[in-house]
Amino acid sequence: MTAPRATDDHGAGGGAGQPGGHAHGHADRLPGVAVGGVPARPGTDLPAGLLDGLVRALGREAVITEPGSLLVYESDGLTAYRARPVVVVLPRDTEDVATVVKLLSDAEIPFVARGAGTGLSGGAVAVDNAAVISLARMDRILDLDPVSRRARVQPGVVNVELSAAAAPHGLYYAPDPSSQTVCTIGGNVAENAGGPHCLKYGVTANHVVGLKVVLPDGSVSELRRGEDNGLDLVGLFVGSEGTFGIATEIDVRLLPVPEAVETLLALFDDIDDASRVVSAIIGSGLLPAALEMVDREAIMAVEASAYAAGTPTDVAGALVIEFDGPSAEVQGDAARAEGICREGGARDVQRAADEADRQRLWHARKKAFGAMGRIAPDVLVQDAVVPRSRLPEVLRSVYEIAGRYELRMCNMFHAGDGNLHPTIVFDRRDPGLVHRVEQASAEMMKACVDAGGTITGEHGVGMDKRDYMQLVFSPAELDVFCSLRRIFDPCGLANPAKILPVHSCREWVGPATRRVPAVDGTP
Amino acid sequence: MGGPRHATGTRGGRYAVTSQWFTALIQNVGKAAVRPRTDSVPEWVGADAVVLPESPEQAAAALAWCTAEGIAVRPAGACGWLYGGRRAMDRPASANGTEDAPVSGRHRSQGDGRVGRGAGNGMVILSSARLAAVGSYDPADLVAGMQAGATLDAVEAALARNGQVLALDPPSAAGATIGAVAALDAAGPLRAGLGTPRDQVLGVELVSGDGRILRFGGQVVKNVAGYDVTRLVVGSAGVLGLITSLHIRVTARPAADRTVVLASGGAQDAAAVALACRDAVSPAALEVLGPDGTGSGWRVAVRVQGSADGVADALRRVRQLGAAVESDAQLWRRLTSSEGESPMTLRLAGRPGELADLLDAGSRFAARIFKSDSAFQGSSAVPVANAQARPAHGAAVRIAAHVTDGVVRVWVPTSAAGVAAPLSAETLREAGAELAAEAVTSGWTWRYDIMPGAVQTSRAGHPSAAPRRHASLDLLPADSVPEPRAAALMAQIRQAFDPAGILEQ
Repeated sequence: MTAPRATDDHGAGGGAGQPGGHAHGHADRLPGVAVGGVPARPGTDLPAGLLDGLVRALGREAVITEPGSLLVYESDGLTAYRARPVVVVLPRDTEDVATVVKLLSDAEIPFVARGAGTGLSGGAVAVDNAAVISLARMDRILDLDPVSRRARVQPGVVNVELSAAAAPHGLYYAPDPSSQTVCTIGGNVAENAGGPHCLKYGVTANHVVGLKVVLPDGSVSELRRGEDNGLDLVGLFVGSEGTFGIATEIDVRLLPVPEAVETLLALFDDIDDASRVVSAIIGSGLLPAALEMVDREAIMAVEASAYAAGTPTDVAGALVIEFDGPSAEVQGDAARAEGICREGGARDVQRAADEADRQRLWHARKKAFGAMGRIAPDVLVQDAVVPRSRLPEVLRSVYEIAGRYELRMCNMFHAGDGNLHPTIVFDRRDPGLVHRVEQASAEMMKACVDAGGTITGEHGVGMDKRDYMQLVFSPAELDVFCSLRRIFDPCGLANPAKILPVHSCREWVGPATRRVPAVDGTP
Repeated sequence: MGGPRHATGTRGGRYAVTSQWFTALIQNVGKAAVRPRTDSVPEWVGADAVVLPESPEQAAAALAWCTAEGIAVRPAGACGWLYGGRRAMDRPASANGTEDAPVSGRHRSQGDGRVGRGAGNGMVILSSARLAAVGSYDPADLVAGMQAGATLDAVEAALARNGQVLALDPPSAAGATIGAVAALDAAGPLRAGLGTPRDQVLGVELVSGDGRILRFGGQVVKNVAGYDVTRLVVGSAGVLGLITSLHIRVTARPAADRTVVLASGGAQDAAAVALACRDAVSPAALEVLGPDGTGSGWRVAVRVQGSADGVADALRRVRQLGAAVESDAQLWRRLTSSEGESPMTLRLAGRPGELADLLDAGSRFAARIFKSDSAFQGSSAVPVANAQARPAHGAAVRIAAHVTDGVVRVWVPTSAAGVAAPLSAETLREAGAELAAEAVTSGWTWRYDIMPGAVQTSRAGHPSAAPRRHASLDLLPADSVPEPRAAALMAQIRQAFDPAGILEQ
């Protein structure tokens, strides 16, 4: 069986030619809290001539070196990790990207591709004196073929704008990460982004059919999933977090806009009942478009905010359940789900009467993250996945852990996928509290992995989860990741210091082939 | 491994498999897992030994030994399918490729001194047939774990106990294993609903070519920890190693499952009707079916699944789009088994919007291999049941399309006796060259799945005389190839899993 693995060594019988074990525990650092990377002195690390080359290639206004302007590029949505890039460039097309990457690669300057900067794993942080290649200006929809239900887009196209462009044809782009009003398709590809509706429609990888990519040496390659056999490089590239190169043109599938939508909000007095109902609905054969859970803390935060939707704050938790598809199908499905909720102990089940009502029901879920930000200066949103049938017990452990460390936590998450987002509010100025957050996070990750789950479902590893990788992968498997990375990026220039564990990586990447400038700029 | 014995003679010579070779294999893998060379099992012909491991560790020991000794290995499921030139990934990039068809050179061992297959050190079939357990699973997870050698029938039986099914109907012969389905990314008409195995397999355990036991993905439906090696392994046709177990999505058996077949006037009409059906309902399967040699014309088959109300409503909509003709419950099974047993299948892929053009190109290919091939036409093994269907496509050549993915297939069904007429390599190459020219212009990809023995070569003195079953592959039309940079990446990835280059497809 593809057994869920914890930290045990399962390399028995294999391991020929592998480096020795690296089975140390994960580093004693707080993912999401510790500040990673050393701010570079902008501009000063650029070899002579490189800046001129970049300006010649892109134009003066597309090359940013002014320290104040570089500030915005210091972090992504996980602001704990910061590093100032040595330069930011704004290419407009594949050729620009190829030129820029070639110039940087020749100068041995690492680079980080950046979409909207909404990532939650520190994946877009330009550590190691890297340049940032912002894809914000590559925001054109190159082709939209309604008959084939395909679109070809540049990476800087904003997720919802693709759906807006497809709407006149009755089509939309299905993956809907919570940041979809600002995040870009390129960033979604890098992270293999999910969203509430991937329960029914799958994650980004299920919707990308082809990619044009600029590889870390500046060469351009066209990857596609066709019927020609060979390896699925598209599938491998999606979710590689910018470490294999930069996708500059993305072919995606579009889906027909569902004819009808039914949305339910089920309120529970016992959170265990709510998570058991999740399993019951999935096990019943119903396939909701979305099946989301919010707990009392999250509801209270929303109700205290501008998005108050009138959800009772004395419930233990609530489920948002949505069905979409042909009218004849969704009516019956929603009725069946309502029955399962009531049988499973729901105090009340509300059904959206119209679109405005539907938006209101969703507020309890969608506005919770923002609302939590009002409670304390710092918010740590975790991301882990467990088999759906294990949800009740894992959720109990998560609450137990938070309680034991005396942390304030809420949960709002993709219950139907088993994708948990324990969200802890804290104040980083309190070192004791930071330490407790760190300990609790690690224990929660371990609980999820022990239940057969994994350390990230949709946010990616980035810088944040590198040290958890050893909870789920053996040294031999991490070595395969290193090999793959080396194949795409032999010089280690594309998005350095992401995905692979800190301590192991240097050894595995082998002899350094590039010059790493020292912090003071001297080689 | 304790220094495996060098059991064979000179490298690069002809066959040099000796009794010491066999003894060393047994010493390294274990007697119980090794079967000697035999001609009594048709699928084993050509192998010097068959290894049937009972654990991933045993598979790892076999692969480590073969890597050390430079012995070719053919990963297999039940040996019926992921076997023999089913996918000609290693087709030689010889001068025999047609001029206008790009020649496949993507996975061939590079002649760089690595010991590759055919180096004369022997060949082992490594079969997952005895790794066949289907474990229990929680139905509420909609995910089931199983060993790779479990047959599709066994998997379906285990799921049926929970009222669940695999959302897969790959072209398959009896006894096909789930591991082979995953390794080939094999999918049938149901791909319109939930995609191919690449979309459904959530995790794999793989023994790499050099004998490492590796697990990627897992049993959860969302997983972005590390690179998505699961997707790389699914569809890799065995070139990275042997899949020993996997986790796959399962679905509830739909409350209602109905099929409507609409008649149409021809390929172009069928394409238009099919796209209209796609827009009217969300089909679980949607196929354009060419004439099947029994007098039927072009048809569109629409399968809808869901609640009773939903399906009834969908059927009503579909019936408004054309004249429904009689169909039976066995339609889909007949289609997938006809394809699964075919000795030769062309798969041509473009966009759904190009369906009419794809069908046209596929029809011309079918007509060409039917009409111009005297060996094929004259063979008594091919029943020409319906002469009137001949000019367009040939009664014995079938054509169909997965509408939502723009994939046209052309195949040669086996005869009633279960024996297909051999095609001539020359005819195939000519038809293939014509197809390739059009496909390259249109940006389509294509592939030939060819079973050993399906193709006759008339060239005297060709190495087909040697006891190698792939000997004629270099006379066949080439598959489409990835662009060069992508092909180079694939070759490097392959080398990372199989440094000695011992794995066949």
